[in-house]
Amino acid sequence: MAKDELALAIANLERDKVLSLVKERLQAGVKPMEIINSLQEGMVEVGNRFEKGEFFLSELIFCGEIMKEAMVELEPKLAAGDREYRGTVVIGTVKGDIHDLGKNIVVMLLKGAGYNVVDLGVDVAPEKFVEAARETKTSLVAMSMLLTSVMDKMKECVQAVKESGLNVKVLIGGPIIDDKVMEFSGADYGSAVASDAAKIAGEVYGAA
Amino acid sequence: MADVAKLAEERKKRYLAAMNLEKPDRVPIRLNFSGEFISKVAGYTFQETYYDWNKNIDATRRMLAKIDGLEMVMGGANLWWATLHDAVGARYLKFAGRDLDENTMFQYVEDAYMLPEDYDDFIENPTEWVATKFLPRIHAELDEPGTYRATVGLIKGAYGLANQLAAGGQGMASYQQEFGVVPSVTGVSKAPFDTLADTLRGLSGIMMDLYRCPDKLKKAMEVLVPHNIFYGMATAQGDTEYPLFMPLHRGAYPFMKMDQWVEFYWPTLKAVIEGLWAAGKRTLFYAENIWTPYLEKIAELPDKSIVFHVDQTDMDKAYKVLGGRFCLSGNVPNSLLAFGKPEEVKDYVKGLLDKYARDGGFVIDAGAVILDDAKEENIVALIEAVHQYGVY
Amino acid sequence: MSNSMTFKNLPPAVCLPWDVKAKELGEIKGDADLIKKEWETLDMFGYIYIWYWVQR
Repeated sequence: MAKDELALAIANLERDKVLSLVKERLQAGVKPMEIINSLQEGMVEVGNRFEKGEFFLSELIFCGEIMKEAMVELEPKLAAGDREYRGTVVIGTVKGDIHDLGKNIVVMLLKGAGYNVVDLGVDVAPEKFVEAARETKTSLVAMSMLLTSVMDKMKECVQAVKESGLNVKVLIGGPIIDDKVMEFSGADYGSAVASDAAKIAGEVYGAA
Repeated sequence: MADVAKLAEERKKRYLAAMNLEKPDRVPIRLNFSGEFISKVAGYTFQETYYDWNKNIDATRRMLAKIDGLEMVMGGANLWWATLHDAVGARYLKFAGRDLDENTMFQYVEDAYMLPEDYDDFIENPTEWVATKFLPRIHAELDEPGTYRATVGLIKGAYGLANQLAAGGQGMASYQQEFGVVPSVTGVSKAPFDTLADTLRGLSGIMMDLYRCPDKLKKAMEVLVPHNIFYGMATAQGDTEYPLFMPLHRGAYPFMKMDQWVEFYWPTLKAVIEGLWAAGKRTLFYAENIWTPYLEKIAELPDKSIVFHVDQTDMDKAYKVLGGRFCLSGNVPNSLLAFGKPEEVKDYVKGLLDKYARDGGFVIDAGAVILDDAKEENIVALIEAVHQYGVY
Repeated sequence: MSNSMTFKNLPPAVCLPWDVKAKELGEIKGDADLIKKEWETLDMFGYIYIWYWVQR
C-alpha cells in the first residue's frame, strides 16, 4: 500500500486532491521527477487493485485521465534526461485490427509502472514492430488484438519479430488469448488480463 | 417445396419451444454467422459482399446449400452495405477493398462524436439532436448542411437504407422458401447505456461521465428508454414470435464495479426489456464476454422475458441462477471453432448438452458472432454433435 | 436546460408532429384522419432513418 499522500490520492481516484497536490509540490520546489514517482506509486496500486478485482475498467480509465491531467502540469517542467525508466516496451495493435482500448490500458499501466512505452498505434504491420524493436533496442514487444479474425496476421507479426534475430521477447494480449491461441502464435508471453503486462515486463527486465 | 415448408415449421416449433422452456424434439441450433464467415464459405471476397447486394444475398444462399443442417439465419448476409456508408461519408467505418485489404473484416473507429456539453440538447429532444448535430459530425458528406453535397448525401442515405431494408427482407424470405430456415431474431435494440457508449460518447467518454456528470448520463438514458423499445418493435416489424437481438457490450465484467452497474447500466436496460415484454416481445440477451457477477440482478426480469446468451459467463452459475426461468443459449467458444479439432468441438457440445440441456430450455450456439476464422468442419461437427446427443 | 432545440422531447416515431403540420395546413377539406395517418407513417420512416445511425 502506498504511503505518500499523492500516491494515495491517485490510488483513491481523488482527482481534485491529486491536481492540487501536484501544484503545491511544484511550487514548493519538489523535483518534477519525484512527483511523477509518487504518481507512479499510486498507479501501481491501482493496477494491483484491478488485478485483485477491487477495481474495474471504469476506475482504470478515470485514473488514466487524472494522470493525463497531472502530466499536463508536469511535462513542460521536466528537463531532458530527467526521466529514468525501468526499460522500454514497444507496443501496438496488430495489422488488421484497429481496436485500441486494451492497448491503451496496458500503455497506461506500463507507464505507471515506470517503463518507457513506445506506442506504435493500431493496424501495425509486422515490419513496423521489427523496425521499432531495432531502433529502441527494447527487450519486449507487446502486441494487442481484439478480433479472433486477425489471428493469422498476429502470427505474422510475432514471427517477424522472432525471425529478426533481435534478442526480444514477444507478449500478446487480448480478451481471446488462451492456450490454443498461445500455441498457434508462437509468442513468449500472453495474457487476457491487462495488469499482467507490468508483471511480464518486470520478468523481462529482471525487476523484483 | 412442401418438404421445405414442413422443415421450416419444425425448426420454428423447436426454437419457440426451447425459448418457452419446453422440451422440443431436440436441441435447436442457432449459430449467428458474420457476413465475413458467410463470404468465406461462399467463395466471395469480403469486398464483394460488402459492396454488391446480389452477392451479399447469394453468399448466404451458397452457405445454406453447402452446410447441411443450418436451421436459422440472422437476416441478410451482411449488416454493413458499404455503399450506403460511402454515400453519406461515414467517418467511423473502414471497409475491405476501400481502406483495408479486400479480405479484411470491416472495422469501427470509436470516438466521442457526442461531447459532454451536448447532453442538455440530447435530453431536450434526442431525435432532433441526432438529426441536426450528430449526423453532420459522423457523415463527411453532411459537413455543411444545406449545401448541394449535404442535400444529396441525405437523400442518398435515406434511399439507400430503404433499399437495404427491402433487400434484406427479400433475402430472408427467399432463404425461408428455398432452405426452410427461420430467423434467429427479428428486430434489434440496445441497452440505453450502450446506445450512448457505442456510437455517441465512446467508451472513455462514458466512463468519464460516470464520474463527471452522472446525473446527465442518467437522465439521457431515461430519455432513451421509450426510443429503444420503439426502435426494437419497429425493426422487428411488429413480430413477437422470434426474439429481439440485443447485443450487450459495456455492461460486461469488468467495465463497471457492481454499484455502478446497478446504478447506471441496469435500471434502463431492465426498463427496455420489460417494455418489450409488455408488448409481447422477448429479448435475446446477447451477453458478450463475461456477465457472471450480474446474474442475480438479471434474475429480477419476468420469467421467459429473455433468452440469456452465454459467451464467457460462467455457464454453471448461469444455469444455477437463471435456468428453469429463462432459456439459455451458447456457449461453444469461438476460439474452439477457430483452432480446435472437430472431435474437440463434439466433446464440448456433448458436455454442454449433458449438463445444461436435459430439461429443455436450451439453444446451442457459439459464444459470440462467428467470424471468418471459424473452420467449416468445426461448424459441421457442432451440428452433428447436436443431432447425435441433443435428441430428447 | 438548453433552448437550442426546436421541439421538446418528442416521443418515438415522431420527427415533425402532426399537430404542428395540421396547424400550418389550416382547414382540411377532405378526410383529415387519412392525411394524418399517412403523414405519421412516413414521419416514422424518417425517424427510423435518423436513429439507424445511433442504434446500429
